[in-house]
Amino acid sequence: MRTKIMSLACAFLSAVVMAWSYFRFGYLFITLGILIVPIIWAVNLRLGVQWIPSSLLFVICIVSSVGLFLDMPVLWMLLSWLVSFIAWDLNHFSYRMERAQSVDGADQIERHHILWVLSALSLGFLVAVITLNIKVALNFWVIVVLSILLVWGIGQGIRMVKASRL
Amino acid sequence: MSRVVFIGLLIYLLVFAGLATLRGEFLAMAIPLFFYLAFGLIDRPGTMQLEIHREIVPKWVNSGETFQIHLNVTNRGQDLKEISLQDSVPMNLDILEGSPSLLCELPIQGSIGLSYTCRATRGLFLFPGVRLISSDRFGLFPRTESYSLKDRILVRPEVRRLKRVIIRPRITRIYAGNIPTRQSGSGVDFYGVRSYQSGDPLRYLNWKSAARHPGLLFTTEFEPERVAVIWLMLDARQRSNIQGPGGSLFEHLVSATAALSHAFLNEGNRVGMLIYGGFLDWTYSGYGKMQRERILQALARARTGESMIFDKLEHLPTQAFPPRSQIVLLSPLHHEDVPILIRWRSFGYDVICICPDPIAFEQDLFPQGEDQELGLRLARLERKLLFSQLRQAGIQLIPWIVSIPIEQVIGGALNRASFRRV
Repeated sequence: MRTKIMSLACAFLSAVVMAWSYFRFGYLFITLGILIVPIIWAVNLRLGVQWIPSSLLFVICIVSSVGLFLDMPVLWMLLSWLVSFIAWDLNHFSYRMERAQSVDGADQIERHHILWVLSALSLGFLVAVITLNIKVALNFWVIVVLSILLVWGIGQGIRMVKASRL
Repeated sequence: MSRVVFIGLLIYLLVFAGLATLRGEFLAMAIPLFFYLAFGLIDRPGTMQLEIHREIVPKWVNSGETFQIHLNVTNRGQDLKEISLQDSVPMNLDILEGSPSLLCELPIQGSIGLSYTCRATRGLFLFPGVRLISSDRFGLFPRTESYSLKDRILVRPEVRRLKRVIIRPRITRIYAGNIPTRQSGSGVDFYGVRSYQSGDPLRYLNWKSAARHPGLLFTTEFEPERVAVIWLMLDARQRSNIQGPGGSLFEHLVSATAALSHAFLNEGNRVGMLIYGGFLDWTYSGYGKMQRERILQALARARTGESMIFDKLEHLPTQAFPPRSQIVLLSPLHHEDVPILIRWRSFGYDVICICPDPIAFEQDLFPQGEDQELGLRLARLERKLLFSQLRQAGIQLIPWIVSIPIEQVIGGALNRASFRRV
């Protein structure tokens, strides 16, 4: 129950931050649309449909990308995006806990999970902020090579994960 | 869609958006997701090395009684951040208390216990194993393993207590019991009077007869009581079973068999059992509590089945039964069974048929109406004819409407029949 409330609070916080940014830039309709997200999130906490949080996260990803494209404050967008990601993770965690018929040491598992997710995303946020402040001039072909390397790396990662499952 | 794939998709989208617009902010948005995946990868479980023990207390129970299952898991391998234990519970087992699955953390050398209480009706229940799902804290990389941990519990059928069941087989054994032997000898029940022969004990002289016939002497004869060999035969053919609103007809037969075996063994008889259906399940004849236990265990395992060979009674090896012994057949009976039963009778076996009424059992399944009424009448006539054929052959029939308790039916019918024959 606690993680559910935290998940809802995160979804609400993320929506408010993003809506505030859009409101300041005069996009009233989008602002209202963003504010619907935590309502759907709250309803889904009761319904427990698994694809809805992922869809909402995808929508937030698109909305924050559009916000970045429209030159809205990067930190606000990044923060909103991260908080909605935490909401998505906590939602799945609470679903896993509910699905288990009995849980031994629920509080401890919950605490460890929250610590771990906060560590991962705080570090990610820190690195992201650092990278935003370091400007390196790259020409087009270097970017192409780097992107190919990136795609290859992700592919390798997925392959490794599949192999470890087998 | 798997969560890893979903996160991968988001990363791809953000990276491509960054490349397409040549803006680093999009790439920065993807960085925390990389970290999330990386933390999940670091945390992912390796091979599980666990010691698992299951204990079922008690090992066998009677139908409707509860039993407990304790599962103990000890981690002999690496630290498991999140592990879900799922004990595979056989079907038809009601879990009354506790749960067969548990989500927990399991540190190195740590152990965890899982207990739950179940109840079941008759049967042999096999526990195949335990399913373990271990994953990282984010649930991104689950690893599933199944441990084979075979266990079983035998749930014996309910045994209804019958009052004394009176049977009169032609052949008895030499040990003292409760069944009249139809022969003169040492006993307490009056058997007859015959002329005095030298050597007869004087205390057995029948003075009343001697007074009526002056000059002659008569001796009173007594009927000894002995134990008998009784074979219970349970019809487990699939086609004999009917699933009705009150459960299965076969379950009623099992319950009746248990009650009869208990009653016969209590009187000191030698009792054997044959369950024929998919195959022949013999419980060779024996005495006492051990035999009672063997029969109950066989009944607990009994299931209906189909077989090309044992579909008809004629393929049963009757020579396995002692000559002229008592056979108690528990079956709803089919038309093809009649000649076989008559043949058994001609071989000298005493046959008692306890026939649950499949028509009464099944009739509630069909809608009421004229057609149904007509069908019921025809079925009853057919059954009446079948019964009359068997009665003519000297087979003792006990029709049983299963809604009436077996003790009421058997007690009344067998006692009446025995008195008639005396």
